[in-house]
Amino acid sequence: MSKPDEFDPRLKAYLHRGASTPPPAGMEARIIGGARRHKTGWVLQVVAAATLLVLAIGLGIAVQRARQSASVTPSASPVAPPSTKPTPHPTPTAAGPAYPLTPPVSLRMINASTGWAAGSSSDRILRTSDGGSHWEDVTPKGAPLGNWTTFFLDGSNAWVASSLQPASGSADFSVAIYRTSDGGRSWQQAGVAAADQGWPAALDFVDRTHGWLYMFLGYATGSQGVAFYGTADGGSTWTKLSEADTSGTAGHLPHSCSKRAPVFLNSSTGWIPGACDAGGGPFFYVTRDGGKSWRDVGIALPAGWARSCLCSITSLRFSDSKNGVFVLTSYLSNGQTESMLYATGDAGASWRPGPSLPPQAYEVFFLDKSHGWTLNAKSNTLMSTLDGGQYWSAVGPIPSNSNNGVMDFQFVTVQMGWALGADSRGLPILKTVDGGATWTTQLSP
Amino acid sequence: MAYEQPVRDAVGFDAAVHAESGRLFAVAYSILRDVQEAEDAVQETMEQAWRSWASLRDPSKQSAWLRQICVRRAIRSRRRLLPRLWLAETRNVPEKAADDPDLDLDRGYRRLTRPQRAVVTLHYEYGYSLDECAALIGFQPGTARSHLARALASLRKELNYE
Repeated sequence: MSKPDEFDPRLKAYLHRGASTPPPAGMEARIIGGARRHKTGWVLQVVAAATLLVLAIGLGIAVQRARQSASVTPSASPVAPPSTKPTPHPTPTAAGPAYPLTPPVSLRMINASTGWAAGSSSDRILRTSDGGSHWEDVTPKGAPLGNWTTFFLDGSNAWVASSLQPASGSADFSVAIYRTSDGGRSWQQAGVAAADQGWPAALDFVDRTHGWLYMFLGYATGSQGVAFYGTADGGSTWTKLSEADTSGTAGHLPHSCSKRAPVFLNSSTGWIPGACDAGGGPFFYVTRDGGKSWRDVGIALPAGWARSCLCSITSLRFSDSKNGVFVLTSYLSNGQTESMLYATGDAGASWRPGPSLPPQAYEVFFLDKSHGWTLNAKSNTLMSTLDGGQYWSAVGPIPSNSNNGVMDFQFVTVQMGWALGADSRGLPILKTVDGGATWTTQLSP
Repeated sequence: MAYEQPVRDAVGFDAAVHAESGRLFAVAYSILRDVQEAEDAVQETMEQAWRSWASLRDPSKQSAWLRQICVRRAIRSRRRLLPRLWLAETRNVPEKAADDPDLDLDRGYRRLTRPQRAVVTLHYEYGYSLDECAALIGFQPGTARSHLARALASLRKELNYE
């Protein structure tokens, strides 16, 4: 066995050699020339591929005709009668359409029967009304393909924010908002947020009318530009509410620190969790005026934690109008991590540090203030608590691709929950009806 | 109000290519470990940048924006259907990089998925926090941690560290 303490320097040396590999000679000239001309190489490839395809089809037809002329024996294969058994839709077959749930994927189960799933890279939205046994493709047909962000309020109301940014190369930064109020049977373009930069990172609605569009404006090490747009009419009209800046002005969101998707509790109050660079501590800002102004919550760190910790906030979620939790994770200098559960019972007026999470656990899902689950991210072992996180007991592993993890998990009752697995071809949906002890795959690539 | 068509700044674009292409190639190669594919990722990144160049009003954001595009391109790129030589492209085909001296580690690293390689190299070589890696790549934060943990476990096992 090799010495464990040799691993890190060996890996870092290897990575550094890779990052020091010089670009091939003439690359800059090829890039400048290639960027400004039409992509003839791409076109040639398509033409060549199409030619090969035509040749292959022609060859196949010729072979088939040769076989037919060589034999008159009827096919022994029986013709299957039409099946009356409903099949999951879209049916995940190797020869069928592309698997719809390619990451980033969001899963939102409303109750035991109704739920939504969306694959942002594939621009597809699915809905189930039978607990996940069947998934219906309810993708809005009119929405342009691009960067989609979704929000599912309940079984009927959902929104899609569609942007050409950041991957299209277009100079159009506007965000088109589509809405359904009949469970995805029909979608209407509700309005357009007239953004002039960035791309949509999250949508959030607290009811049918009040919502927020959260835009990412770009990253740099240790900082992140974001902007908020708000609607009070269900998405028809959008107003820019605030944007992170470097002014340091009270009420402004700082440009520094990385920020996660906001979580709003009601039309006035919401939080942005995140993390600052080493020495900056966690990022946790609150608005009390619907997203116009923000202030640092200034949460109390656990005893023994330095204010300058390298720590971040995840899993912020409210289980009802009063009770919510988040996880504060500290990254220690020895490479280890420590995660602490925070809870509020007064609608976020105060947050109290609670018990530590088990090792390798970074995210939680709480059904109410007592019943919750967390996941060992290394072993995919699900753990549950009945007492608000004071004691965690292992429930069982969530089966997933052996070299990947579990992307999300959520419960609608103490017994019934869903998880998103991981697969390079797309994310499978798994379901449990026994609190997480056993899982069945409902949809997979 | 009439929409004013932005004007591309060719000089500024050339300057950005000179300033950024080496760095973009480095991060793309770190993930892909293939000179040809890395150059393709940089090429596609800059093609996209050229089409959007006029809308990139804040030069301070160019570097981070380009790196994000490049990383995502590197992760999601597909091998070309046909080799360039077969298509008789006029450009020269880049040379192959020298084999890494740590052959065992190189073999293990190449067996990682591209997202795993991206998290490992962005975190260890480029100093991004895992939250920043997640944001850069487009993952959920927990996913970046999971990718890193599994990548390291895979490498340690491959190299007989456990």
